[in-house]
Amino acid sequence: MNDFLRGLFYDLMHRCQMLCALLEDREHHPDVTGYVTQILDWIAQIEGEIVELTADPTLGTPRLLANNLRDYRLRAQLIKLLEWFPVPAVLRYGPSDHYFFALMSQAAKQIRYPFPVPIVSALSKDYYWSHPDFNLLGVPALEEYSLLGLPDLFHELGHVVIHQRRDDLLGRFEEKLKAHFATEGQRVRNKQQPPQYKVILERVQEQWIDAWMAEFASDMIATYLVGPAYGWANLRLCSSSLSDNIFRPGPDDVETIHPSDDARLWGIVKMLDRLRLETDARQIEQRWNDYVALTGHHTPPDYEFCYPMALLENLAQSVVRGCAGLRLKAFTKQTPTSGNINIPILLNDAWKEFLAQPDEYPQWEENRLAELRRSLGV
Amino acid sequence: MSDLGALSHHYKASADLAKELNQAVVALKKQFYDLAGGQDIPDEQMTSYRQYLVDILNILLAELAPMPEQISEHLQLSIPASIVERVRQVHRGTMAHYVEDLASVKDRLLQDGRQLSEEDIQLLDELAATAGLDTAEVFRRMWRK
Repeated sequence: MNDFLRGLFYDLMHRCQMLCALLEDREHHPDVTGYVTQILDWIAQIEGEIVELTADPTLGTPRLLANNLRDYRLRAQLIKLLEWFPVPAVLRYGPSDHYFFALMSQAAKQIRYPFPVPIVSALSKDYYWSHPDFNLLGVPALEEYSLLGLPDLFHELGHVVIHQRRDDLLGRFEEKLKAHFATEGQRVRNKQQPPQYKVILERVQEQWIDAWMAEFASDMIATYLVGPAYGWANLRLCSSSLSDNIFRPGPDDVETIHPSDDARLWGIVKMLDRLRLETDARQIEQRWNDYVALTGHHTPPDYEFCYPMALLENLAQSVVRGCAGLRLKAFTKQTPTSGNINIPILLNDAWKEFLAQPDEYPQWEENRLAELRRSLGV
Repeated sequence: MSDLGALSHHYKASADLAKELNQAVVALKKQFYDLAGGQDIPDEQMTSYRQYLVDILNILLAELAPMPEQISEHLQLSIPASIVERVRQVHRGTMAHYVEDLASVKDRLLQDGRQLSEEDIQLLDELAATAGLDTAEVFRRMWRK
């Protein structure tokens, strides 16, 4: 096993060198030259760690073999992630990616985004996504020719913000979350409810901490930044039947990464209320209730265990405080400016137009997109 | 939208913990089993590894308490809930003893680590393995995306 393990490390080192060669052997678009340097730094760091590990005389000794294998796996995983996400994003970087980078760069100024603008890859087969660790976003190809789904880009940006400042945004909330579930656990014990309730609460808490909290918070950051447009975009996404049941996951199937469509919508509404956009909040709420009625879905028993409204309100409060602490500009503070098109306002204008005159919307959108391209210089 | 954003947060938290835990445990094992270079690890480095392990054990003990305890705010560390849950599952039947063992290991780490036993090392190694398993599982979920 010792020889095999050593071979694995050398193979990994070779993969690092191949990735570097792939990146160094070509000229990159000016948008991504700094990003390529960053990727090369990540690879160099992994390579340095491999050199250190293979130089250790204890590598492969029976007492440490399992630890050495763990060390190998962690580095191998990172190299695979680099190979799958950032490296192809820069190797295939083209005009569509440039359009989104220009769009994000302009929006970043307008929302006073304090971190490096993420690179955007316009070749997603999996709707919008983000890889916050690599400051990378993914967008499906057709989004370049539309405005209605673009608010989802700000949800993905929210994941990057959380990656940068998790403790500021979610640290205190996580304590409240744990206290909430401890109280619930006590209540279940006092009421002598069946033991499965304890298990449900433990699983729900685990999902909140590891996945749902970030999803809800990213929805709320997007709502903070682009206002009602995010709520409408979410309703549009739900309408395209992304999930089989808007109340899933519920207490019986909490393993799903995303919280239920229904709970997410209420999280967005809570944030709109906090931004004092009550009229928009009520309109979205009304359309959502209409939509729920049409789906014929019903809340499963004990659904409220998973998504307590008090927690969503609390999270909205934490997110507003965290965003304000980062000096991010809320949608409600955006004002139209002469010259550059204000992206958050444009996205809301698009939704107003879509809702007011759906039949005329395609032409309206085409004209605005042409203006946007001129404004971005792409 | 894709699950990748949330999975990335989870992966980073698990992978960071797995890496740091493994590094600290390897250093302890090198000294304990008198492996090559074990006695050359600088004292300050060993103190730092032991302090890291104490911090992690403090967090884990707070998480495993019947009522959650406030974790000191200066700690910038955290343990993903999935890892706490894995620990809970493995030791469900013997949780009281396990918590006692964790507390004892923590005390011995605080007393310069010289009193650590082979069982203590194994307990810490098991934690590092659990973090590694969790990281691998989250990675596989990202792979399928």
